Amino acid sequence: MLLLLWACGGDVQTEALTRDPELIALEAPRLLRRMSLDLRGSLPSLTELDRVEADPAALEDIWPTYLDEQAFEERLVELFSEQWLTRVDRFNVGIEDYHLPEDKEFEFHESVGEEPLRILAHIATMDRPWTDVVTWDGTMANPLLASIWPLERSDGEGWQPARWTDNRPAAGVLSSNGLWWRYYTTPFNFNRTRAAALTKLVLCEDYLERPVRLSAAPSLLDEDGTEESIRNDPACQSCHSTLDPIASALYGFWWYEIYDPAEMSQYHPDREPMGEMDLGVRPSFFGQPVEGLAELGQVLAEDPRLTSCAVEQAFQAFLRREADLADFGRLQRVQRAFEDGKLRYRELIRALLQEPAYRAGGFSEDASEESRSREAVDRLLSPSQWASSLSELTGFEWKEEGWEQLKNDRIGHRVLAGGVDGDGVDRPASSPSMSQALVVKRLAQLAAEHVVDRDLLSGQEGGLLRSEWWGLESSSDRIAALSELHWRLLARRPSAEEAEALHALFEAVESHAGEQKAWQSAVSVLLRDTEFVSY
Amino acid sequence: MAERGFRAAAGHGVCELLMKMSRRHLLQASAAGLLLPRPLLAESPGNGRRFLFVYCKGGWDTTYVFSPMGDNAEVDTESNAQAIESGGILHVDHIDRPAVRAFFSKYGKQTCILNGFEVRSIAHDKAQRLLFTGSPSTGQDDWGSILASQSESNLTMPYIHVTGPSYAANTQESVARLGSNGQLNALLEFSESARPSSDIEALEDAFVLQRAMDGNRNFDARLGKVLESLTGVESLVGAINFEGGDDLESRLETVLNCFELGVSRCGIVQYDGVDELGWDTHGGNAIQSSHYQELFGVLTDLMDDLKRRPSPNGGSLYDEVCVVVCSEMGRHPKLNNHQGKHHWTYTSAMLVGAGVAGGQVIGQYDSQFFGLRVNPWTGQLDDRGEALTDKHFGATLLALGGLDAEVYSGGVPPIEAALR
Repeated sequence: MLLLLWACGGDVQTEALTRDPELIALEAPRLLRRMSLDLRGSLPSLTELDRVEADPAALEDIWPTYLDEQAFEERLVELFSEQWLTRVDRFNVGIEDYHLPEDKEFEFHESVGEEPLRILAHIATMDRPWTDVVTWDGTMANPLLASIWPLERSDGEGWQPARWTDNRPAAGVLSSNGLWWRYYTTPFNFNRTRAAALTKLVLCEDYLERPVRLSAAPSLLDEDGTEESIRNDPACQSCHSTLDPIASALYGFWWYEIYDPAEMSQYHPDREPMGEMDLGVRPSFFGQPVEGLAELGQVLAEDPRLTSCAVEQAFQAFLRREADLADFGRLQRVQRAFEDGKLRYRELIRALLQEPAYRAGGFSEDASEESRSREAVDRLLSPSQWASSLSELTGFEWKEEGWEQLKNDRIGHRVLAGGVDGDGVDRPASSPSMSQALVVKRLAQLAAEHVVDRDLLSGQEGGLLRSEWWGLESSSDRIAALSELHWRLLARRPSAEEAEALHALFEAVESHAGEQKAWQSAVSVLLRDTEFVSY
Repeated sequence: MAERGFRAAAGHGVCELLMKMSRRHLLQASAAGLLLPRPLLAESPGNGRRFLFVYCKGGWDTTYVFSPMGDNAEVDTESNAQAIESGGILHVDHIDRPAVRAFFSKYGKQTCILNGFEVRSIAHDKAQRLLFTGSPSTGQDDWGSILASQSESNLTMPYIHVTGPSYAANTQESVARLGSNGQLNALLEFSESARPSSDIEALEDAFVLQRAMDGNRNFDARLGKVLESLTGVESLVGAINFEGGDDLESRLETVLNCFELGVSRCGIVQYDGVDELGWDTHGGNAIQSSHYQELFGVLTDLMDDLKRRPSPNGGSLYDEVCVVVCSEMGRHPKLNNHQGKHHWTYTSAMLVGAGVAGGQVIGQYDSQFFGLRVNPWTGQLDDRGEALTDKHFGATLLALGGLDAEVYSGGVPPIEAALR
């Protein structure tokens, strides 16, 4: 309903371009912290915090630069993964099918799941029009994928643009293996699951939200009756009339065997006509005939829902809640900026991050209960933000047997820490939970040990902890150091009382176990702090 | 069965009045002196009731146990199966599934089967969400997390999630996830060098908690509560093995341990069949027989175990645990070319134990294998009754838990006949 209203645009009134009177903006340093975590998955530097503290208006000069950093692309991959749900821990084929060594298992699953996300992020950061997501002639690949799939990849480390060599049509993410490995079909499903996934992900049009009511006539107790229902029963036709023709366009990805790596690695152009045979309909998109996948991508690109869906998904990703009817005006403003910016994703983000709802840190006294319950003014750090921010701050990366512990659920803690697993959990946590708090506790302990060793004991300069902090003797010097640490991590200067309390903890631990443990405790408690875990 | 007979005998006018009243009004009326066959509100057993969900993911074929359809030529059933009554339950019996007969013989009187309720999706993920929340949309909490979050007791781990789905949109603080491979246990027993001594860790915990308590944001208060729960859970290390285990029995045991210690109100375990071959039998439907045989053997052991285990409130867990066995969809009445069955939007569920009006089957499938309408008050088939759906299923669970079910089910009433 919401999407229908504002995607159509037209004569609908929009909210005035003024601050929302019910919301109070976050203080500039905390807002910078939020933007830094959202746009690059790390905290602002001390220099940036100091600058914004001295001159809050400097915030508007600093945060747009984050959109040009490599970290922004990495961050987009994480955000898209929460929407597209392609990062699963298992696919129908595995490393053994490609004769890859065991220590490549995590990389294999991560790479396959990330392929479609990397396409989206690449198009976003290369300032290509967003419509390229369904029309681009290429994909993204890392060395592992290039070694197992029919690809020609540009030189360079990490993820690089690549071209398929199996006569695959140019349809952007619709031509990716990763998407269809995640959203596979069965012999009896005829690509309908994929068609439903496609419209949901690209257009925010979810067929499966509609209730399915089986009727007694014609009888569903035989195949003919079922086929007749699908073709003629209005209740069935409300979905199948448009779903099946889209499914019919996806037969280049039809696999005779869904556990065969050769089948699943290749595109099969010779199977494209099978859609009409299996489904009894030619490929079309909501009544518009298409000749195959590339043309499907072209008509998708022309559908206004493509851009409105991108806006809605970005809203959800950055405001950490779903949009509802009350957000109509906000969405429309952002969409206009997106369109005025020639559908460059950075323009969408620029507009979104200027919305009061994004920048809110609290409520005015007369804010309604509805606003208070709807707006997420305090957002929970996601597992990916934990991973990237702690890596940048402390150098610590939580890995076990080659698996990144905050990016998997096979042996890791992604869902326990509030993340999505792409399968059973499809929505990131918005509130702390016991298991999440325990993950954070252990992560903080591990990161604290690592950074104390790196910065104070091994003498590495320029880290989170200044080397000159080691061996400080006076209370005032220690309090100053701890206060700076507090400022760096939480983007808020501690009160005198808070600084004293932190110092008291430091001294208590030091008297018990020595200075190294005291620093570990100080770092650990700040990483677990309510103002660190939220932003 | 006796209760429904009593209700019917109370007079047609009273029955009509009762049918028009919501559960809340009904209970108020009971306090005012109307005769009702169920325990009165003052006892409030629902509030102390615990729930153990055993979820058979993939879509079970109800013709193997719950819905005898052998006399219906339109529905493909296995050969040599017959309908029998055990413990008051009419069910499908087969020589390959003695565990089913054994279960109903022993616990049929504590069992209520709900047949033919509709879950309006043929997609697994949507049907699963519908079954557990009554809605296809995100943003709705599942029945277990609602029950857990509304518990009157201050529970350490209100809803223990071993395996299976979890949709806690607004009740995330209530859910304690164990992890698919015992990750929570590993984190609790964490012995890396990074972990400080217990004294120092206690100091750190107190500091972090105090900081949360000193905050004035809603988030701070929520985090403070969570940190207190975490302290409670950490104190259980050694008392409960949170690994969860690899098989159904081990996972159920973990939940029962939490119940016995009084730290949880709800628990969920997913059962994927023998050797985890799954219930989604588009080919080779016959494997469902093995799944049911194993499942019911475990369920008998589970009920036996509940009797042995003391409740933290006195008595045994048997007196306060309701076991809910369900699957997100049924299977098509006809076999396909691969001797399998496709998805079907009508399914069944089984409620066993505390609070359940047992020894009965409510609902039935018609000749086309659709669910028949039911009077939710009497449990009788009634053309003018309700077409049962996932919302009725959920409302019934919430009513069992002492909640005003219709508040959460959008006005859909619980199946009162299923409540003792």
